[in-house]
Amino acid sequence: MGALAATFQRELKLRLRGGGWASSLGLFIAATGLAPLALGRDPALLAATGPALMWIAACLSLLMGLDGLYEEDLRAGGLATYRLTPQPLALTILMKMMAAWITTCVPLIVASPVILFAFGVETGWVGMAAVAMGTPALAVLAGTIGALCAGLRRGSALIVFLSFPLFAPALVFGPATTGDAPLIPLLVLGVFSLQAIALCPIIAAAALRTHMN
Amino acid sequence: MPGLFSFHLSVHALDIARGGRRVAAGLSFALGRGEALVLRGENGTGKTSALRTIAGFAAPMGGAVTFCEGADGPALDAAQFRAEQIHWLGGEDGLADRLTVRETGQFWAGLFGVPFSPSTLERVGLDAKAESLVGRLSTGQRRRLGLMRLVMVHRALWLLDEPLSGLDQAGRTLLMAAIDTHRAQGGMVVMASHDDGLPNAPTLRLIPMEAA
Repeated sequence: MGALAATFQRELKLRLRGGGWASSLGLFIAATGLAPLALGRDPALLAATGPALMWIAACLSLLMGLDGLYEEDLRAGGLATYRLTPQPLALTILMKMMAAWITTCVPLIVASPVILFAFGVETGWVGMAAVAMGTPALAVLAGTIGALCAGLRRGSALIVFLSFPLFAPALVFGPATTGDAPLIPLLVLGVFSLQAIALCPIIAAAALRTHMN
Repeated sequence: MPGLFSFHLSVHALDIARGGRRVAAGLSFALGRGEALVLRGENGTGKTSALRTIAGFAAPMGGAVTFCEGADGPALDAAQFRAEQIHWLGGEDGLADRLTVRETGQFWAGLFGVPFSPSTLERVGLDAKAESLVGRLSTGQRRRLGLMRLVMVHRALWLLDEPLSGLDQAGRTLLMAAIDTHRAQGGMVVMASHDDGLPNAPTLRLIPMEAA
């Protein structure tokens, strides 16, 4: 088994056993499920607001599920072990982020078409593709801000405030994919994710190195 | 016999920092194959910070840490040496509470590219605990599991921070036996300890550390 595979397996097990993904999925379903009670029964209004509500709920629940990506490894010395291997720290962090995306975002992706169809949005499958293409960026950005705030008191509050401006592209282009011309917003979400995946692990690695110094 | 090392470590006039402040000045020593050394001092004299500087986690304020192949060989690339030849065992053992003991061993085996055999667990006396979650282990059992990484992956330089704390007499014997085997293979050990109870103390060099 290669070092990367071993890293990924460990992180995946830790995320699955941590339970953050369950509270994240729970919040997502609760928020989108309760919203119609407040919005009322107008089908046109529900279909128009559904995608936007779903994306806001997705952003909020991801922040909940992606908290504490590095705390245990910083406190218990797991990062020290990772740093004394030939594997670049940025790759280790990318594995952590991938494990976090799989455990927290894949359940949201699976739930998203159900929610969109329930709101009466006809293009639920396109909306699902959008969630699949946009959430990697959200997971990676939240993971990077988590690295910057790791070990700080009130770190999770800071993560929330710092994340929202960075999440803006997803909130702008995500709901737009359920409209008449979904291709461009979908591609923008894909680009958003790709550039985040390319840059963020390096930034997060630098932040954690500084933190350990 | 695997892992017959012939590396040398030299620390020259090292000014050690913790949180941006100097805690110890001018630490110098040289360590050859099979040698072990104890940094001895009160709390706050920079023992742990010295180990962290050698491991490359913290940058020194001055001086140099050099790794060489052989006694007067050329200096090696420090980053590469650290990535391939240093074991760190700090006050915490690098464990994750939600993995089992066996999964922890398998992860290390994969990460460091060595085979994992259940006999490794026996060597540190944890074979009965293989399926327990690490979070359920006692302090001494956690320390033994931390030690397992050192004995299952052969690396030239061990940096041990207060390695005796939390270990019972059998655990201490186990640790000292592991250190002896490691040194017999040409490995080097740098320990930080305020403990006077180090067995075989005569074969260990002591470097006293004082507050800067």
